[in-house]
Amino acid sequence: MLLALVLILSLGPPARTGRVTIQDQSAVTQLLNELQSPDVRRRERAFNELLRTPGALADPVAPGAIVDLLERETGLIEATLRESKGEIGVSAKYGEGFGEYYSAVVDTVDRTGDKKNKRVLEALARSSYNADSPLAIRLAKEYGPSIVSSVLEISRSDIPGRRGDAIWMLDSILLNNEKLSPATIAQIQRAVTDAVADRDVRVRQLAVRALGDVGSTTNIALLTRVAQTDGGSFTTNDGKLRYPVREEAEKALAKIKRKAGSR
Amino acid sequence: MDTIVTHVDYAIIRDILSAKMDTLYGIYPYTILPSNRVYTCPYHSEVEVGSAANDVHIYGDAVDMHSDSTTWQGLHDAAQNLDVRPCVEPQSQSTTNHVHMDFRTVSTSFYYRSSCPSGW
Repeated sequence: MLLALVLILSLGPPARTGRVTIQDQSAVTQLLNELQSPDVRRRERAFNELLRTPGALADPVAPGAIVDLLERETGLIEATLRESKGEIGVSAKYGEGFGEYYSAVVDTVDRTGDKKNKRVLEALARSSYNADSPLAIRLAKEYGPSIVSSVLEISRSDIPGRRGDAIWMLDSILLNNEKLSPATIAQIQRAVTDAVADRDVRVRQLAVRALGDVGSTTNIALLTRVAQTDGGSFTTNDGKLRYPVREEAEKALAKIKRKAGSR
Repeated sequence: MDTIVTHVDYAIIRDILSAKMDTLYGIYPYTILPSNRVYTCPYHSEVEVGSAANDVHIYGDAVDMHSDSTTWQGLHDAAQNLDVRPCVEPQSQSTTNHVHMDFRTVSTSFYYRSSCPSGW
């Protein structure tokens, strides 16, 4: 009798701890398959359910599947911008909830992914973020030299917003990482200098700002020309014209002159 | 949760949001009023957009400020320099046509979160 009781207790309902039972395992496998659905809503539901399933992220297939998911959703962000010529973003097309879901995917890869794995680091570096966000600053500080080539590649994107974000991130890497080689700094300097002539005003604004950080007195002529001639402008509420790239060029010139003067 | 059956005829705008928007207009006074969006009712968010539970706009803590490629970055930078740092959606998700700013990390928020989403 006692033996039977011990046996029943030992075979009782599975505790919801970090261990995945056989029943859970098939559900986890199904959810992991759902992450590849062509329907973004189904992917989102499956991902949220995975997060709620104890031990699911410990499945050996899970880390790779979530990196795949991150790459797919970053691709969706780019495709949405490309299809609409930059007019409609994912938050307008799929609702504000998409951004929350996407950032949870980024966060999961960041938290559970092996950063020594080049693919994991590239998926994070190529994801959508503000370059002054805590995530971006940490990536810049801890992995700057390893992610520069991915960010340089994005700086040549056909999507203006992505180019702007990449130039901004290159600046963040410069400001937050002291382990960059002279060759890498030169690569960044070239990308930033090229971007000063970009057709998109925000890309030029961020490029000029970055040039203030990476540039030297050899860039003074270029920045002076930008400060006098850049055409990007907007009208303020009180009817005044403002030129954001010219204003940024003035600040960059002051910064370079200050640096040169302090040497 | 009860089924949401119709639009509502009120809007929730939290004090923190209106106060910080006032500050922002003061320090970077180009913003074209009105903003693209402040409050979204749950019906619109759930039925017409399909994202109610995760839409900060139904809690009155968020605004989509009108912008374009010449103003997005300046408005973003000004928002991030406020004394209370808001969450600002990345440009590649919002596009340059608006800057989404919200105050979910303020403890009185109906949608309180201890930090902004990754990358915001």
